[in-house]
Amino acid sequence: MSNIVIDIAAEFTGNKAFKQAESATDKLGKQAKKLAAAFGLGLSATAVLAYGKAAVKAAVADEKAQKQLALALKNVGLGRDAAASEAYIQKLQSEFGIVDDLLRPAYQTLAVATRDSAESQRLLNLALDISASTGKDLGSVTAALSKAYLGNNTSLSKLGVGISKADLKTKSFLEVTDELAKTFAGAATESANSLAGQMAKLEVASANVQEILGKGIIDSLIILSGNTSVDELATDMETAATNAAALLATLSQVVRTLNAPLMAVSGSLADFIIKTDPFVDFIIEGDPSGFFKKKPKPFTTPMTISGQVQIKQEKAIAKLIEQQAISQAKILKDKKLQAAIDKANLALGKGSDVFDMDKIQIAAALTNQAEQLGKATSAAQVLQIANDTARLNVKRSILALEDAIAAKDEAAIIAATNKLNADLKVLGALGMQNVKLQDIKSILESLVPKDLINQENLDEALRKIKEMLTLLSGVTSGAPAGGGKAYFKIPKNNDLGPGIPEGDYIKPIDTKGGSIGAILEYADAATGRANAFALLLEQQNDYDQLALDEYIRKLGLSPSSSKSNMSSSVPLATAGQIQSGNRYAAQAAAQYYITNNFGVVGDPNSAAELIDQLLQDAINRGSLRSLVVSE
Amino acid sequence: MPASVKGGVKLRKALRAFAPDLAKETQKEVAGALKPITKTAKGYFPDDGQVLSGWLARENSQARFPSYNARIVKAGVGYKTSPSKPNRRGFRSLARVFNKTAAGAIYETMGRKTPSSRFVQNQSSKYGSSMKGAGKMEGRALFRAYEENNGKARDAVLNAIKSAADKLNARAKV
Repeated sequence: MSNIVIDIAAEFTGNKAFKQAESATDKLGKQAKKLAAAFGLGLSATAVLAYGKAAVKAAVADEKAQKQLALALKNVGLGRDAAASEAYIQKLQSEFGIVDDLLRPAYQTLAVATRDSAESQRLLNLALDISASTGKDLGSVTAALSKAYLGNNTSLSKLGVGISKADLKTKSFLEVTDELAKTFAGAATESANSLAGQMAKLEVASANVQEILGKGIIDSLIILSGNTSVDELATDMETAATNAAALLATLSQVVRTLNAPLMAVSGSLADFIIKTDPFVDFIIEGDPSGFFKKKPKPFTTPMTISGQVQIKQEKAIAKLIEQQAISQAKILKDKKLQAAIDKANLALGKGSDVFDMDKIQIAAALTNQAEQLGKATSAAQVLQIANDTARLNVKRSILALEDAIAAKDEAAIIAATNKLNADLKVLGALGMQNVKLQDIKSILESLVPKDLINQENLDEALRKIKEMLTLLSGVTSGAPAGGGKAYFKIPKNNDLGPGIPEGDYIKPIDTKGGSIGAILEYADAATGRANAFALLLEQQNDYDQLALDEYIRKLGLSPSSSKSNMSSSVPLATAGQIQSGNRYAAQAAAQYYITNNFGVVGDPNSAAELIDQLLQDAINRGSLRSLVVSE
Repeated sequence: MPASVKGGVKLRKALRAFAPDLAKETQKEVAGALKPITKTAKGYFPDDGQVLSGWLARENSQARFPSYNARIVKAGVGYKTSPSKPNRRGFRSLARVFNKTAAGAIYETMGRKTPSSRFVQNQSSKYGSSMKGAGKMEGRALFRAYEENNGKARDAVLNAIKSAADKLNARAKV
C-alpha cells in the first residue's frame, strides 16, 4: 500500500459490518432453532437426515462401481465371471477390512491386464499382501503388478519390494510373483488381525451398512412414491423439496409476524418490571434498596448533542406556537371582515329590493288594478280585476319564495310557501268560477285603502238602492199597491244554472316541489279560463235582461231597467278569443253602455233626483269617476 | 498511535448544524496545526536531480517501478480534517496527514527492511537523508516531519476539538 497516512486523532465507532453480520447470524440461528422446534425437529433429526443422505449416496456409488466393474470384465471377455468376481471382492472386503471401493478398481486393473480371472485374483491377493507390508496404497501396487505382467518391470522395481534388477531381467513374471508371495505371505491377514485391521473391518462393515441402508432408503422411497425408477423418484423429490422450501419460507414469515408483537409486549413488560422493581421492594420489604432515601444525583453531564437537539425542538415548537397565534389572529380578522361583508350584502339586498324590476312592476300593476277597480262599471270588469290581482299576488308570492330560497331562510320559505298556497287557492277559486263577490271580496279590499272608504255611506247608498229597486219592482211588476207577489224577479246567481260543466276545470297543481314556471303557467291558464267564463256570464246576464225587457213589453209595460240599446247584434266574444285568454279583446267586443230608463210610473222625478243625488255623492267620494246618463 | 477521541464525529456534525462559524473556525485551527508537518515533509523530498536518474520518468519506458517526479510527489503530501471511513478495526480518523504517491512512499520508507540494498545505497550516496521515527512510523519525509513536530500538532488538534466542544456547550446553555 503506497498511501502513507498518519492519523493525528481518531474515534472508535465499531465495526458496523461485523456487528450486523453477527447479529444477522444470531437471528438466523434463533429463527432456525425456533422453526425446528416448531416442527418438532432437533439436531439429532438433522444428523439422521445427514446420515440418510450419505447412505443413499454410498449406495448409489457402490452400484455404479459394480456396474463399472461388470462392464470392464465384459469388455475383456470375462463377463461370465462378473458375479464370481463381485463375490470374491466382497469376500476380500470382509476378510481384510478393505472397502470394495478400493478393491474393485484394483481388480479391474488386473483383469484388464491379464484377461484372466484366476490370475487377477492371484495378483490381487499378492497386491494386498504387498500393500499391507509396504504401506503403499493398493492402487499403486496393482498398477505396478499389471505393468509387470505386461512386461514392464520398472514399476515393480520402484515398489521397493526387494527384487533386484538382475532378477527382474532374468526371471519370469511368475517367478517374480512367486518370490514376492513368499516374501509377503500372510501380511494382509496379519494386518487384518491387528487392531487397525479390526477397526478397518468395522469401518468396512459400517460402510456396507450405510450402503445397504441407502439402497433400502431408495427402494423405500420408490415404493412409497409409487414411482418405478430412480429418475421419477428424483423428479418427485425435487418437486417435494421445492414445495417444502416454500412452506418453510411461509412458516418463517408467520413465525416472524407472530414474534414481533410478542417481543414488543415482552419488552414493554420487562421495562415496566425494571422501573417498578424499587417500588415492589419497598412494598414487600419496606424500601430495602433505600430508593426513597437516595438523593438525586446532580446533573454533571455536559451539554451534549441531544441537548442541542432538544433546544432546537423547543425553539421550533415556540416558533410554531407563535405562527399558530398569528394564524388565529388572521382568522379572527377574516371573520370580522366576513361579518362586515355579510352586513353590507344584507343592506345591498334590501336596497336591491327597492330596484327589483319584477317587484316594481308587480307593485305598479297592483296599483293599476286598484285604479281599474275604481273605474269598473260591471261585474265582469270587477271579476277581471280580481283575477288580475290574484294572479299578481301569485307572482309576488313566487318572487318572495324565490328570495327566501336564495336567502336559505327556512322560516321565510315556509311563510312564502303558505302565502303562495293561499294565493293559488284564491286563484283556483276564481278558476272554479263560483262567481260570488264574497269570494273575491278580500282581494278587492286589499287593493282599496280602507281609510279612503266610508263604509257607512256605502251601506246607506246600498240600502237606498235596495229601497229604490224594491219600489221599482213594485211599480214594474204590476203588483197591487198593498203588496203582493211580483210578476217576475231579478235573477240571481243561483238561477244561472250549474255554470261550469262538471269536470270542466283546470286541475290545481301541487306547489310543493313544482317549478315556478309550472305555477305561472297554471296561474295564466286559470286566469284566462276565469275571464272567459266571466265574459260568458256577463253575456248571459245581458241576454236574460233582454228577455226580461221583452216579457215586460208583452205585458204592455216599459222595461224599468234594460239594455235598450243593446241588440242581438252586439258582438260577442268569439270562442277563439276566449280560448286564447285575450280578455281585453273580449271586453272590447262585448263593451256596452248601461242606460237607465225608468218608466213614467209613480213619481219618476223623485226617483231621478234620488239616483242623481246618489251618483253625485259617489262621484264626490271618488269611487265613481264619470257617468253617462241618457234619457 | 493516534489519540483516541470520543464523540468527535458527532461534535463535527453538531458544529456544522448549530454553529457553522465555529465549525469553520475549528477546521481552520486543525488545519493550522497540520500544515507545518506537511510543509516540512515536502521540504524533505529530493528534487528530480537529486534522485537516481533511472528512477525518473523516461520516454518510451515500460518500467513498472513507480517513477519519481518531485512535483507530483510533493503535491501528494497533504492533510485532511474530515472524518474518514472506518478502517478494519472500526476507527475513523478525524485529522490526518498523508503521503499518497507511490514514489513518495518509496522514498519515505526505502531501507527499512533492506538498508543495504543497492538502490538504497545508491540513492543515499546521491542525496543523503536520515530516517526518523520508530517501527512503522519511521520514514524520511512525512514520518520525519511528524517526529520532529514532537506532538505539537496532535496537541493542537486535540485542543481545537476540545475548545470547539466547550464553545458549543457554552452557546447551548440557556
